[in-house]
Amino acid sequence: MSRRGVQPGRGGAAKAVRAGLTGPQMVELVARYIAAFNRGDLAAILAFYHPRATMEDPVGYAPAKGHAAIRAVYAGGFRQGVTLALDGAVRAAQGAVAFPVEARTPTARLWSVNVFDLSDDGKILRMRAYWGPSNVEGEVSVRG
Amino acid sequence: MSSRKGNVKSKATKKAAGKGTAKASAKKATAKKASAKKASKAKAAKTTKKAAAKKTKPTAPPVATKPPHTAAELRAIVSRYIAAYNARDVQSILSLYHAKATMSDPIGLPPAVGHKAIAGLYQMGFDMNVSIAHDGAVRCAGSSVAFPLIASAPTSRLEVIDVFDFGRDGKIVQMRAYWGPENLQGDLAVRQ
Repeated sequence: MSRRGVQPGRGGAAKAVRAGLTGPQMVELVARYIAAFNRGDLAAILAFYHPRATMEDPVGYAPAKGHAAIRAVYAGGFRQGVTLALDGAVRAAQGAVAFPVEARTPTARLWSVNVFDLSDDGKILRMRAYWGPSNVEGEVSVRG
Repeated sequence: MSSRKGNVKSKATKKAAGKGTAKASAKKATAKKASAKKASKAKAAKTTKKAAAKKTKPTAPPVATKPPHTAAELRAIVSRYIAAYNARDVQSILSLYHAKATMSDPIGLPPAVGHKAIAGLYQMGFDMNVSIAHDGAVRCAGSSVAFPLIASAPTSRLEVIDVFDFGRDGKIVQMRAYWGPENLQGDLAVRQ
């Protein structure tokens, strides 16, 4: 981790006029996403996604592609009674946001890092959830 | 989950080849020629596009399809990485990386490619007196690992999530650090 500078100065004018969500907008997007998830609101969740988005949950398995497939993944989670809570600060980078979450079901807890790659107009192009069996306490079914 | 589409084009060509008069087949031959021309044009365009993409976006070596490490091994690697960082041990850090690895820190800036550039990036952090510590559970996902951390310098504090993707040989092929201005408290010295 070198932690290069993030001030607007670096990269010059091209950076300053760059399209895409600002950091605070991404933080807000994540909050709305978690709220929609915890309401079990499939329509609201899908509205975050680009029609041709891909979703890898967990990373390492075949991705769900497009709204219909993504909807099925969330519907499965809602059936298991999953709820989400932030488990640390949202990290908003340029065009992408990463955030740690704790997911709970009635019988399990699971720790994931979720990453959204975003389009300039703020739609999720690619969702990746980083977790594995070692991040699960209790019982949860891993999508195969 | 992924569905493979059949090769529609080759099926249609086969069908066409099996029937028809000489005239029709001549017509087809012309059409075929035209489509071949089109295809080669498209191919050329693709190649140019590819070359352009290569120029602007360096690609990391492929991520392993079969995880090269267990979750326990991934955790050990992350621990070694953090210890090596705080010991300013560039050689130990580089030994975790593939020779042609890419490092995007932060995501959004052009990545450092290869050991030399990557070493330069770490040196910059060392020059700023940065040390790093866990900020939550290490998430182990197949050939990747993601972990939240705090990078502290004497007058600043930065929240980061690092992601390592591993190649078949067990080395990091891609490192991505997610953070932005909102994750910074205090002032980090900025390279111009």
